[in-house]
Amino acid sequence: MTTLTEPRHPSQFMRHAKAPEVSEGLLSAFEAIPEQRIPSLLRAAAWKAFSELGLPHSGDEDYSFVSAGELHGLLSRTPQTDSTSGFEVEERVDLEQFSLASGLLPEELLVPWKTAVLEEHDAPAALAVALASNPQALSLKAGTRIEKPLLLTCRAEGARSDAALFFQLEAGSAAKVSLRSEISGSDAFLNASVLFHIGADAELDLTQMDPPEGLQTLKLRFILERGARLHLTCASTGSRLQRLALEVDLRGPHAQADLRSAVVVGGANRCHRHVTLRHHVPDCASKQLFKAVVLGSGRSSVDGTVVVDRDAQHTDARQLLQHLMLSKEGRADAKPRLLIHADDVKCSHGAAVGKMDPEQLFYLRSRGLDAKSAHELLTHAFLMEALDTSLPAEISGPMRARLLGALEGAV
Amino acid sequence: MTAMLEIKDLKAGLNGVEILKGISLRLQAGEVHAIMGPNGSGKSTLSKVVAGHPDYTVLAGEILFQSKSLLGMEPDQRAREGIFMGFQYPVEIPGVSNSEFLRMANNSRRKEKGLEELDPFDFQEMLTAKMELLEMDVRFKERGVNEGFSGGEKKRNEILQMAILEPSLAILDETDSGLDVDALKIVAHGINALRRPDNTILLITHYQRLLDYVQPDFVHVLAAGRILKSGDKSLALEVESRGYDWLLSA
Repeated sequence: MTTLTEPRHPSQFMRHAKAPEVSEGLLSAFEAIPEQRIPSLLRAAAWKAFSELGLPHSGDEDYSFVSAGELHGLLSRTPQTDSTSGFEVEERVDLEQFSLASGLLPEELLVPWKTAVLEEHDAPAALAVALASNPQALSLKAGTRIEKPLLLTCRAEGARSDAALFFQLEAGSAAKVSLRSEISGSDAFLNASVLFHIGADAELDLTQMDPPEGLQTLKLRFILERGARLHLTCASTGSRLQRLALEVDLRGPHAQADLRSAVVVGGANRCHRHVTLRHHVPDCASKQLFKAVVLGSGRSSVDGTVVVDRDAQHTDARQLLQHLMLSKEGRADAKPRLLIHADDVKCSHGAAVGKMDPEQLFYLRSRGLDAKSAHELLTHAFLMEALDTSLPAEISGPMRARLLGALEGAV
Repeated sequence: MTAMLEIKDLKAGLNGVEILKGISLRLQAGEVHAIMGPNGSGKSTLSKVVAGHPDYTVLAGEILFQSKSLLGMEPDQRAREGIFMGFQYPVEIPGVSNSEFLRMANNSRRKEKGLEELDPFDFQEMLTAKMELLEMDVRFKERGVNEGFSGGEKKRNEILQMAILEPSLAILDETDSGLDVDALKIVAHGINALRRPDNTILLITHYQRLLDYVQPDFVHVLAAGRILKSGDKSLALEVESRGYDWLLSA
């Protein structure tokens, strides 16, 4: 195993590259992180990316549906540097784990992680890597498989926690992974970033569930090589603030990405999804199905962009964003976008924000189902279509229970 | 003898427009009636009004089902009482499995009759038998309700629902539309198999050809919101050969 040993403390660089609106407190907290060779290399790259992006501000298109002012405030909170927050990873045979607090990271993991961090477009994600108290890296060796879902838990408490994880799936490997956040306290804020590099012909089946309370900005980035496959299923019932940013790069031919999201937001909860999916090369396929039910004064948004590069001929890209509004006070925003630079592609996108279809309702009632049962059945059906039916019961069960629990009494 | 369905001088409309302008009909148990008529005559309106579609308003008259007034009764209650409407355009409901939907519908009807719910095994057995009757692929059980079904498959699915629910009154709104001859024969066979002395079937159709396979006891011609003429099967043949104009101008 080779490791990078270049000693470098990034504080000098950071002072010079300080983004103008970054508070002195944030910068001081950053500088207070102990110097370690490898984490510092990564942190410096992350800080550089962040410095160029700056904190979210009003007028920034990426935050059209989120309060940029609130995000600014959250991301300006003083970070905790204790070790109680961050990712917990189940130990598994064939899965190598590296804690950056130990100062060791193989070059073959550091280089792709650092490269990805340098090209980060999401300011909170760049900050998460820069400030994470204990960044971790996982590597699944070529040809190995994790069949029993691997549990990744990100814990957070207190005013602010930052966490970062890199998961590399080497060529021909396959993993089922369940990612969850556990936030203690309604005002606790977690800012986390996870990078998945899915090697040639490797397969990742990932489920992600937002925490039921607290505030969270989570970035999931996926880089898919030749023939790699990604199945992502997300679920959320919102909270004071949940923002999930997804970035998918189809970099190898015949890569496939299937993204699904099921959301129920009620009360004053909010849930925001931001997606950027890019077809870099020919012959890749992507599907996105995002569904949300809005109750009470809940608020949901999906801002999804698909980019098809000039060389990405024979792309098959589909995107569907649907909101079911069950209240007058709630709000839903959907912004589907296709940016196509190739000419031999099959792309479709659509967005709908609407009420329950009265003809479907009448159809069910005309068969004897009372109004409440018919409403419930249609709402469940709308939502469950976004959940992958092939998910193992131990994963799909809690997801369904959470979503249906949020619907209970409201439909 | 109590009528299965008695409609008395019914006037009804949609969005403030009167479509049915005084319809009276009396259907007895064991009978098959057919209502024919040109486009826009009010045939589908009649079926939806009887089934209780909320968009339609009854302006005057009465609808009695087994002597019980349907006016003011919710559509699901009408269904549980034993009224079934086969849709001209069956609705697709992705995400609701056909089997689960049918089981819920069947149980709601059984509950109304004071019967115990069928356990899943017994229900599946019954469902399979009914699907065989209609020559339906059993894989349709687990597909979303009407999701991705062809026109013929949707109509067969309507008759399957009728077979499962065993209604006292079945109103089949243009069940024959969009069917090729083979599918029409299968659907007609299903309808005939469900004819019983204690139920009533009301066929709504544009064309005579369905009536070649399901022999009606009575035929009514509906046009411009009124029943213009009633008769036996020969009336359908006459309409087939002469069209509707002679009735409209009579």
